[in-house]
Amino acid sequence: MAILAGCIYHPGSFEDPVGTSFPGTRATVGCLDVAVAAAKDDRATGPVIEYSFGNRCDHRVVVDLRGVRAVGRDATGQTRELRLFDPDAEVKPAELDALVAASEQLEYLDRDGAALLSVCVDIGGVESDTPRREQWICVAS
Amino acid sequence: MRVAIAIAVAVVAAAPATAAARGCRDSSTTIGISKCHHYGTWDPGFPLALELDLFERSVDLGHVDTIADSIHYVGELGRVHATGAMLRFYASLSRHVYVGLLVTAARSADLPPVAYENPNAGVGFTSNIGAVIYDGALVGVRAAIGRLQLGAELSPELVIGTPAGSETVGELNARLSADVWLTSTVTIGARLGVDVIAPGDRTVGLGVGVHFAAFDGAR
Repeated sequence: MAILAGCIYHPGSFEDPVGTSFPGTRATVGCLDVAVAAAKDDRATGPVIEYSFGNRCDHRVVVDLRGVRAVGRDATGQTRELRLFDPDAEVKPAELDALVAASEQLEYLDRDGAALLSVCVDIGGVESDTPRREQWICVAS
Repeated sequence: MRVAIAIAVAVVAAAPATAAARGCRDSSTTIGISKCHHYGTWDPGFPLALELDLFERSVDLGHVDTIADSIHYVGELGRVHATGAMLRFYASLSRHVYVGLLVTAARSADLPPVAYENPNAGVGFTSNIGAVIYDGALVGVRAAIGRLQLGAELSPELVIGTPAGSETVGELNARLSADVWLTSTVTIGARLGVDVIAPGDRTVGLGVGVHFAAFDGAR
């Protein structure tokens, strides 16, 4: 039974099935437990954000990371709109089964390639069935 | 046994595989950079399940006339009623389709005696066949309505009367099932089956199942 219990996402645990904690800042949006962290990727030119999420509900939900708005703050304190790097148009709303955890790393680009001190993402609309309400999480980039 | 092993391998192979497990390696997992990782390939875990059913079954073993270990078994077994336990192991191929194996041991109290003839010793005697063993595979479809899951499956099976495999009958069982999810990994359910080849052979069972992926990945 312990093996079985280890194969599912436990609501509120913010841990993947093998017990590794979701990195970063945590929030709950509808059926989704979400954590946001800055990730390192030597091949990326812009900041990379790691989204970890677990479905708390006993039904599948639609996860929409494409709809996440991202902004960066540069050294002068100016806020800059960022766009998702998605050359193959892979990122689209996708279903996550009940009590399953997953993660994705997404790169964001500034139009002018400015150096950014921090990145903020609005995850308020990440779960498609929940009415969108702004919910910003900021991480140092 | 070889067939059972082949099906077991197929069942395990049906489990989702990660990019790394498929042999693709990349230093990056960032979408748009990684050549291995693609967006939305979210692993639901191993959609395997194990169920134990207690059942009652009627089966027509017909006429026995076979030689095993120098003993000649002769007799008319006809229809017997057996009670037993069925172990079912299956994997989900999709939200609505699953395949698996089943192994069953059943015992009957009402089997008629069979004449045993041993030509070497020149003597004859009678005894009862004490057990009926079933082995088979299964393929099924299912649909969920809330916590209730309804299913239908087909199961080719080999029915073996003992001792010494004195009678073997092939069957193709069709079963309807209704299961209730008590938790995300535990079900209880009932099954009603009929042999498509010999429709008089019926099975009624109650069982409990444990599942390695929440709701078998079907919700």
